[in-house]
Amino acid sequence: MIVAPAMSFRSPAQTARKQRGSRLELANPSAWPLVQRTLILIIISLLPFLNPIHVLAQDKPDTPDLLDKSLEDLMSIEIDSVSSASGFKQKVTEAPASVTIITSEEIQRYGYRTLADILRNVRGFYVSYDRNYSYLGVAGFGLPGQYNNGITLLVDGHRLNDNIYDGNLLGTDFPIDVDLIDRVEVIRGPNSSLYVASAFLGVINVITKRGRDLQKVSGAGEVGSYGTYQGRLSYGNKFNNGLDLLLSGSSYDSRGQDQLFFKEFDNPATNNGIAVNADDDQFHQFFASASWGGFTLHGAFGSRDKGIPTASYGTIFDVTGTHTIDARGYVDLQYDREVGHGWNLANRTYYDQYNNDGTYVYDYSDSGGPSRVLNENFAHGKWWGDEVTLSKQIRETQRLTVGSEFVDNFQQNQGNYDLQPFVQYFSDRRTSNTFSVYAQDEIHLRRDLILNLGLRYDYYSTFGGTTNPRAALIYNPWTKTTFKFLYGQSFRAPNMFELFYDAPGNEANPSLRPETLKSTELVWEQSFANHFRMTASGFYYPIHRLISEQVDTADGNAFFTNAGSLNLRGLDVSLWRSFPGGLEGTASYTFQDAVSPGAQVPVTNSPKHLIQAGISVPLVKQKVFASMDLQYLSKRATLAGQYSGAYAVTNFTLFTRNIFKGCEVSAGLYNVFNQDYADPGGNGLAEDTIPQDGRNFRIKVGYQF
Amino acid sequence: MSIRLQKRGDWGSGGGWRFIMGVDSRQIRRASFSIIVAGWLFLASSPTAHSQNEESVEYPVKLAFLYNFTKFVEWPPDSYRNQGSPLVMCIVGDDPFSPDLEGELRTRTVGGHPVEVRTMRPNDNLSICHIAFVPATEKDQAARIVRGLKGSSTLTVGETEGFAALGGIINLTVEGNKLHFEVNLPAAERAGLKISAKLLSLAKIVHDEGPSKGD
Repeated sequence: MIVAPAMSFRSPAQTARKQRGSRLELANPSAWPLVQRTLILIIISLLPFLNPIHVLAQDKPDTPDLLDKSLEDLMSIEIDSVSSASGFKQKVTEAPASVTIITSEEIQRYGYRTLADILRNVRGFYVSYDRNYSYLGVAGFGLPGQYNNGITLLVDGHRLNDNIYDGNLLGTDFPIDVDLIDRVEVIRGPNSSLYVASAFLGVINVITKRGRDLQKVSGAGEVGSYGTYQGRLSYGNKFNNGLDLLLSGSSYDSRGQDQLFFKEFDNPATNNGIAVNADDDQFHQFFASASWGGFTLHGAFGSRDKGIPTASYGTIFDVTGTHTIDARGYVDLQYDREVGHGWNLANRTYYDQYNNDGTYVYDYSDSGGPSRVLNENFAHGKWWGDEVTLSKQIRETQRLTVGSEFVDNFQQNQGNYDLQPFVQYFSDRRTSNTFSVYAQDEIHLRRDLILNLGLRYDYYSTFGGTTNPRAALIYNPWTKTTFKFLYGQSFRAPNMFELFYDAPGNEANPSLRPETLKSTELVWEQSFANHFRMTASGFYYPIHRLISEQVDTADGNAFFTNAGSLNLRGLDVSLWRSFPGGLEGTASYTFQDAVSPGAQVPVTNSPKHLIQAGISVPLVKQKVFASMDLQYLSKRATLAGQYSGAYAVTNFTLFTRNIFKGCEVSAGLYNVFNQDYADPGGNGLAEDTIPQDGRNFRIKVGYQF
Repeated sequence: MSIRLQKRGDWGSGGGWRFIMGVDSRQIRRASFSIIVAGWLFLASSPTAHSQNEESVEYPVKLAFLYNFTKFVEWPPDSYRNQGSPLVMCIVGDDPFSPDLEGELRTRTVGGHPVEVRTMRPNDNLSICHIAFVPATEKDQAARIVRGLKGSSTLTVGETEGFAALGGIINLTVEGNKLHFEVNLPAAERAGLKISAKLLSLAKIVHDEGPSKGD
């Protein structure tokens, strides 16, 4: 019998812990150079003072300004309405949550390449990358290796979280090309009354373009650093019979960094810590949507193959062949109609699948086995479900929504085996169901006061039932001022991986209970003039029965358990301003404090301070834009109890459209100042911090035929 | 190290369902599947059209569109009693615009004609209006309103899908979070309105199903 090494997938490898040794890595005080500090100051000071004459003009009611605009200008005004926070389209200031919207215009101007790029510029959000997956941190909660199961990610209302890890793919593994995104709505806080379990810390709704937004055939090609190429071909149209059709396919290939240095492996036996050609990345994606009458059918499929250069889970360092393939696909059919007496019915039926297949290269020679064995680890999920929502506007004062959802997880399989010689370590086949009912009522108590009440019951075949209420009071004392008082209870169900993963070095724990969250939030939204807004908010999110990974002292196995609690508190303020002609800027500051009561160590990957800023300047009206964005994160604690240093990364993009008819060109320089920075690594990595990309570029050309 | 294979436990395969509901999960699955298939058949067989409600956040911009249209549309000379008569802009049914906004509009003039904003009921005589705006809330009345204005020089403006196709002259649409508009050129000609090329260049040109259809 071949003796398996002490490996543990997606869990703290004991070998990894040992390799960390004792190092001292303190926050780098020079990580935030003077240039960048100055840039932030310039952006912030630009916002209120750039055009004082215009400020005065805009302090009057909106009307004169709007009436004097040309039709072209009127046609370019974004209508800020949000459909996710309470399930239907409404004004941002009336949404029962703190909401941020990112439009396709911003995605183009700032040269965002992935959904992760978009999200790292959202107030209070930060993204870390372990050179395989991207992890979103929200409200100071960003435990590496959690696969983003604390948020719900929707594409056109369709839930993307998979049914094994409850996870979300946000980087190159996100199955939809950012070119197809019309806008992204980010709703903070728990939203359990209208969305399933993992709308724990927030909901991100990606709304795709429709066929009519694309003009027949269009395409894009791009070239970037590290041997990166991407291409897209799309067709979109709205036909005279009312059919709106969009078809698109994208392909991506990146050689990745030729050489990556990891100091934990800095010895001659492991190539002095240099991983050569092990960072490659490829994906293929297809997206289709068709709507006709009240029907909308859409589907997506994306498959990404990423080389892992970090020798995760005790695999061999500096080899090619350790990689994961994440394939995610779905088909979703929706129908909306009025059913009489003012009731609106929406039904959604969907089929989803997710396959995660990892190949890990091990050396068993220490225990007398072969020196190169391929170990396969997989998670295969298939599910379908149906959701029915009924809503009714009751006179002018109330809007009632009731709904129900059923999900049949008919495949939730996990396994682990060696290919040759074949040894099966773990194989688990499962199915489960969930069923939910919910109701929400929006009551206009007075002209200036909205009360929003929600209640949701979820039944999980894995652990039972849970009921969660939500309440929001939205007070609008003056035209330009809105206060929101938000309270919500929420939960995160233990996922199949946490419940049942039982490969060697791990232990299943089928008796896990859901994590619970009771959140209180106060939001102040203020607009000073037509295009000058401020948002300030304070939040308190205590999480109980936190599902965390522990090590069994008897046998050294890792398992998940409901242990301890976590208190997330914070304050943030953000300013947004735009000027006629297209100049716009935004700046935000977030203070957040994540504390684990009773624990001796600080919470991992939780920066106390976040600064995000962006400015976009039209150099030639409507045609050439120069844009810059910046993210600053203060130091973050790592798993080994050290710190990854504070950093500030600045990106610069020049974007032109219609210099030649139908042609768009974007040139982006990312990490302009070549900031040297690293993100805290998760469990199963020997590296305590993972170095990130230095200065790199991308040139992209889009053309509409 | 020994290899432990996970045995299929009671937790999977809907054990909880069985416990709570007293029936097999397969039956529940089969039942819910049938209900959903039946539901879809019901939905698909029903002829009612779908419509989208637009929230009031876009109305300031829509009112600015209405004002802008007046600059690019020429009414027949006999539609004004004299040089200083007002340009009458009618909002039919529930008025979605704010009084402030309309107040500002009332201070404006178009080609020497002061703008007059009136709210009207669907049954009123709308032929006195230069512009008749039919909000989404009145969409059930839209076909009747358009029919009733046959032969008068009223610029009908709607905001519901299919408004131009049923004989309305301009329809405001939302595309990619921005406002656009469709112009039904034959309907404009029938009303004796001249629409400038500038306006048409920004519009999507549509045709209706013929003036006599439905009569």
